[in-house]
Amino acid sequence: MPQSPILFPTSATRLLCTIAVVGALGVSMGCSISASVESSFDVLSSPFESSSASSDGEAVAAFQEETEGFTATYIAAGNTEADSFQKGLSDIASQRGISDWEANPGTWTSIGRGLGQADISEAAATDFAQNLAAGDEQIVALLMQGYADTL
Amino acid sequence: MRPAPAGRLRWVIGCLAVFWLPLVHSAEAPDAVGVSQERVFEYLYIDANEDRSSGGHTAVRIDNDVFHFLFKNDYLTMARATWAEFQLSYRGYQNRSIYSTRLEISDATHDLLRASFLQRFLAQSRQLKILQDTRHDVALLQAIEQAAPSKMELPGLGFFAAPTRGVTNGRYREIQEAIATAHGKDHLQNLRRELQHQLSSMPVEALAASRRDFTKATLPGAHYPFNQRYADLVAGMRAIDVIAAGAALSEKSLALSLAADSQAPLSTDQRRALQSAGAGLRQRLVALSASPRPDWGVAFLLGLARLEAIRLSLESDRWVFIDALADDASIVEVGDRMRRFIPRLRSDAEALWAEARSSWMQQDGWHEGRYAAMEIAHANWLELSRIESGGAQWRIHATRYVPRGLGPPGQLPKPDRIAEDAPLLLATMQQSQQEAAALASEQMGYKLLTRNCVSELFTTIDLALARSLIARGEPVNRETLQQETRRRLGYMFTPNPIPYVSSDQVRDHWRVAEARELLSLRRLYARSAYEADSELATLLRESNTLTSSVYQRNDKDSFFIFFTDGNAMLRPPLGLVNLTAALGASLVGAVQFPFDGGKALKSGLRGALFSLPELGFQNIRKGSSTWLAPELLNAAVAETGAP
Repeated sequence: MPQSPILFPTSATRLLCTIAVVGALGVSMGCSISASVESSFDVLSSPFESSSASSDGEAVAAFQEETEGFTATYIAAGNTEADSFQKGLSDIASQRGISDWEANPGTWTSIGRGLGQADISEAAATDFAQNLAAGDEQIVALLMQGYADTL
Repeated sequence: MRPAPAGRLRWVIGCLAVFWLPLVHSAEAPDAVGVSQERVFEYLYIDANEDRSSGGHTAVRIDNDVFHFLFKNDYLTMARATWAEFQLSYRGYQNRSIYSTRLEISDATHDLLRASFLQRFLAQSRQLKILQDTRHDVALLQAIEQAAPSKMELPGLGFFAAPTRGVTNGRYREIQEAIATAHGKDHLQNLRRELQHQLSSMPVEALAASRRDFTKATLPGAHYPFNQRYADLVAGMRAIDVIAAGAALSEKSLALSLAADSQAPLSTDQRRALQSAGAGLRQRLVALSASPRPDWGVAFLLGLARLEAIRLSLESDRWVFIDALADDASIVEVGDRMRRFIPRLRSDAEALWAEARSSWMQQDGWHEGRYAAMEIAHANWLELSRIESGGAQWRIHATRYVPRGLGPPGQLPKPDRIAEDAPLLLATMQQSQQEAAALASEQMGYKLLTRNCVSELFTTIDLALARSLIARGEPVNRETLQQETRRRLGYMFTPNPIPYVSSDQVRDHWRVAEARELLSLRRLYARSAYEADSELATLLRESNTLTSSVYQRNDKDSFFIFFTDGNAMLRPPLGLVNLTAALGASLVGAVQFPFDGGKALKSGLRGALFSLPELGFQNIRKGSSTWLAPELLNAAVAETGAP
C-alpha cells in the first residue's frame, strides 16, 4: 500500500489504533457486516443497476455459467432426479431475475456442457438429456451440442 | 519469488495504474458476456470505515465477478457481484478505496480458481435454501393441520384475484385455444386432475439434511422438499383455474400502476412492440403449460400476469405493469435528510425507465430479461414519485428479482399422508429444522479469528489446489499443498484474519503482476477537481463535510468535519478539529437527548471515538453517501476514458 514508510514503520501502529477503537466500540475488526448497515448501501445502489440492458446480458451469462457448474456437480455427485435438478435450476435462475429458463437455448447448451464437465459417458449424457427433455428432440439436440463442446 | 521489503515498496508505488471503471452501463456491446473479456484474478483489500469493519474487508475479483464473504443473518455468507456493482457499492456509496493485487497466474490456474469460487457460491446458495426449506416445511404443515390458509402465502397465488371454479368469462380464450391446439382440447382439464391426484398422494417427509450437505467442498444432496412440492402443485392448479375462470389481475398486482398519475399515451411503435411481445409471450405460455418442470405453474402465473398487463397497456393506451415491488422488497424509511435526495433520485429513475423502454424496443418479440428490466425500472420510477409526493417507506429490491406473486391459497388441501400422521410428521420436521440450523451454525457461523472474510477466501483457494492434486492422483497433505501453492501462486503462508494484513501477505508471498490503489469516488472527484483548476479554494471546499460538493451528511455517519482519508500528515491537526467538534456535538446531543432519544449524542460520541486514530496519523472513518452525485460518477467515467 502506498503509505509513507516514515509514518508507518510497521503495521503495528495501525493495528494498535484499530484495536483501541474496536475495543471501545466492540465493532468487528474482521469483515463487513451486512445485516443492518451494508445492506442499505447495496439496496440503494442496486435498483438502478438491475434495470440496465448490460446488466441483463451479465445476468444471463452468469446464469448460464452457474447452470453449467450446478449441472456438473449435481451429476458428479450421482444425482439423477429430474425434479430436484429442475428445481435447482429454477432457484439459480430466479436469483438472476429469470423465471422462464427453458426459453433460452443457452440454458440447454449450458446444461450439456455441465454434463461434459461431469465426465460422464455419451450414453449416460444421452439418457439424462432424453429424460430432461421429455420428448422434445430440439432440446435433446441442444443438450448434446453443449456436451459435445466439452469433448 | 519473494521480493525484499524496500524493493516491494518502490515496485508497488511504481505499479499504480489508471483504473478503468465501466460503471453501470458499459460503452461496449450491451449483451457482451461480462463487461470485460480480460482474464484477471485480483485479491482486493477494501479500506475500513466506521462500523462496517474497522479492519477493512477482502474479496477476490475473477474477471468481471467479485466474490466475497459477508456476515448476514447470523451466518458468514458468500456474495457474488459484478465488478461494476462492487465498486459502486464500496468505492461509491461507502466511500472506501480498494487496494487491488493482480496475481500472475496461468490460464489453467485461473480456471481452477474460478471454478472453485463458483462451486462454493452455488453450494452455499443451496445450503441456505435448505435452511429456509426446513423452516417453511414446518410452517406449511402447521397451517395445513390447523386449516389456516390465511397464515400462508404461496408463490404465484397473489397475481390474480381468486378464481371461482365453474365460472368463466372468456378473458383468456385466445390462450386457452392455443393450448388446446398445441396439446389437445382436454389438456388443461386432464392436467388439473393429475395435479389434484399428485397432491393427495404426495410424499410428506422431513428434509433430512446431513453434515455432508453443509460442507464447503460439495453441492448439497438433491432435495425437493415438501413445502416446495406442495406449493408447485397448488400453483399449477391455480394457473389452470385462473385460465378457466378468466380471473383478473389482483389489486395487489396493479396497485402501483393504478396509483400513478397520468402518463403519456403509447406511441405507434410502442404499441406494435407490445403486440409482438404479447404474441411471443403467448407462445411461451403454451409451451409452459406442457413443461415437465415441476414449478411450471408459478412461471406460468407470472407470465400470464405479464400478458394481461400487456393487454391492459394496449387497452388503456398507457404503460401498465404488475407491481414488481409487491413482495420481498426492502423497506427504507425516508427521513428528512434522505428526502432532500429524492427529487434527483426520481429524475435518475425516470431516465433509467426511458432507457429500459428504448432498449426493449430494439428487440422484437418476447424477451423476458428486457421486459423485466422495464417492469422494475417503471416500478422504481413510480415508487420514487410516490415518495416525492410524501410517502415515507421506500420499497427497493437489492438484487435482480423475479416477482413471486405471494398470495393466500384460499384453502389448503390436505395430502392423505398428513391426514394419517400429522403429529409425527410435525415432530420430525421440527427436529430436521433444528438439526439443519445446528449444522449451518457449525459450518457457516462467523468466528472472528478462524472463519471470517479472509479465511474463507483462502479456504476456497485451498479447495481449488486440493482438487487439482486429486485430479492428478496425488495425495493432499501439507507438503503437497505447499508445492502446489508454490507452483501456481507463490509461497504458502498462514493468512492473517485482519484484512489489510492479509493483503500485505499476498503481496509479499505470491507472484504479483500489478498492484494498484483505486481511490474512493469522493477522493477521485476531489483529486480531479483540484487538478482541473489547481485552486486552493477547491482543495479546501472538498476537504470537509460542510462545504463538499459531493458529500451529504446522513444518519449513518458519525459526526465529523474533515475527511482524513487523504494526506496522512494532516491527520493529527484535522483529527483534533474532528475530535473537538464531535465532543461539542455530544454536549449538544446530551441536551437533545429527551427529544431525539440520544441519536445526536450517539453520533457525537462515535465521532469522537473515530477521531482518536486520526491523532495517531491513522484513518478509519470515510463518511458514506446515500446518493451519488453525478459529479462522482462523471469523475469515474472520465477515469475510464469512456464517453
